Amino acid sequence: MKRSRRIKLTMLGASAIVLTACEERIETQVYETVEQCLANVEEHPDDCRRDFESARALHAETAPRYTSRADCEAEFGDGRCEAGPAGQQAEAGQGGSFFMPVMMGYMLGNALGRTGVAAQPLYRPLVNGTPGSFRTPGNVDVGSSVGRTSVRPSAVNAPVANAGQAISRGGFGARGAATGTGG
Amino acid sequence: MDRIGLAPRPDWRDTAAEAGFTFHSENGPYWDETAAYRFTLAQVEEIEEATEALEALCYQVVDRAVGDPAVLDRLAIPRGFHDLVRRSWTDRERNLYGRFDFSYDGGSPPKLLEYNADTPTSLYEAAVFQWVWLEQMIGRGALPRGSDQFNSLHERLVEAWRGVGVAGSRLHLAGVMDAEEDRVTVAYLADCAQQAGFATEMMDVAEIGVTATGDFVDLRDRPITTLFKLYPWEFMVREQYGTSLLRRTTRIIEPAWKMILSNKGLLALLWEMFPGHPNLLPSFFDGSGHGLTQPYVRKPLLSREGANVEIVGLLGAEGGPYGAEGYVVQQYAPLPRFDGNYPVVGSWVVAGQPAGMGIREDTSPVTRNTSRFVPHFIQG
Repeated sequence: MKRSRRIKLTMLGASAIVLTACEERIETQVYETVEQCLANVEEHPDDCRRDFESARALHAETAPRYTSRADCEAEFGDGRCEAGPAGQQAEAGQGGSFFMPVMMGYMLGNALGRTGVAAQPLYRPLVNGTPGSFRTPGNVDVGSSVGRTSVRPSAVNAPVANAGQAISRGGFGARGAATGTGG
Repeated sequence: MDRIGLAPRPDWRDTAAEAGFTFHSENGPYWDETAAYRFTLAQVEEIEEATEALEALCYQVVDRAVGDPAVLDRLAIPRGFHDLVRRSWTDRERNLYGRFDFSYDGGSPPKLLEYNADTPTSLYEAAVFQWVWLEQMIGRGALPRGSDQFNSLHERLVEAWRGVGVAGSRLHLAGVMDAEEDRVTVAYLADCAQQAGFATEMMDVAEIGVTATGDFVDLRDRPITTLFKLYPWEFMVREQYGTSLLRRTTRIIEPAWKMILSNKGLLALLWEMFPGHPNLLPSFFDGSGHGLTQPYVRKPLLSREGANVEIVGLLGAEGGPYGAEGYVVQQYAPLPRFDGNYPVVGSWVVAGQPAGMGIREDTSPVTRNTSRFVPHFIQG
């Protein structure tokens, strides 16, 4: 056979014509607060606080950033954004302050005995005006359930720290604007 | 190889809408299933073998070019970027995909017209929509069971993304998002990358920003660690942020060494190094006393979609913005004609391996962006 055995599209188009295979899922746990975690975890309750702390630390480094509170709140809702940490504001230079969504939950690291999984802060961007499912700093959807849950492999990758702020944009694209450039 | 008239599926537009295929009729009809090309397995294997062989020859050309600044000069690659191209090759930066365009009549060896090695489109319609067409045509009894297609693009693309190794697991994909065909191509590759386990972010190339240190960031100031760009290298190196590319802090796909292959000067270099190869047409840098007799084809080193291509002694140049960097000339290989149409076989390479084909046909002997995509199948 010279053709693909199966084609799946996860974002483009609908699933009506697509033969979908089962995707590998990773078991993990998602909580909104340390207390909620302690109420649910039978083994290793110490992980609840430790992973919350490391998610908090990652939050400062990896949360999506916005140049204005209004831009941030447009995506996460009124009162659900905070100013970026002072130390990072200075580091960003350019006199730029920035805003980021507040952390709405966290995913346990090394969940259920799986090693190499980093604890992650979680955010809930608005969907039709109300907070939607939990998302990692890498913007991977991990569903809306709290407690034990299964997520896509890309959800458990360690989040990437933000860079300094852009001092300019638009330095690419002048030659291909609107006409397309493929061949 | 023959061209068979077929009844279009009455509901194909609905299927296109479901599958995210939005540009099937942008400038007149583009997706055309009133016909299909039928190949034997032996013919497909001939195209596959030619593709594999040419890809290997292309790597030899790159090997030679990176070691010789005079060759990079002939390809109009700016001096300041020679080292970038060289290092991307010596560091073995992985490439994702490309498309060889062949003149093929089903009997003689396929002849290389050009290699779209940097920003090829028509990927989605080849990988997905013609595949769905075949499945439905078989399912509805319009084509015999056992019909096949040279098209493992989708599976190979997902696999290739796994092999590319995206730093930090976040992949940015940029293109000219106002151009629907480009947007869908980028979205499709993002879909494949997601299935390979990466977190993907799509953006317009004009949204790429630079920091004070010259690093690339997205609209949220997140670092762009790995960038797929459907935007030509030859544009990027000549634009404002070109010098930031020299920092090499972002992994770019296709890698910089594709600048050597996505350039029509490749055709002249291939002929120079492998004269007489059965899949090559005699080709020379223009002005080099080529000795070709008319008609021959004159193409800018850097051009897309047939713009500024001229068949000297037969057909005037298509207008267009290209040509400032120089030209190559290539012996004219008339495309075969089927019912008044001229098909070009686009043969895909994914991660260096032959991966399938898509056929575009035109009523003109120079394939342009007005050509139609016609599906194919294998029988016998």
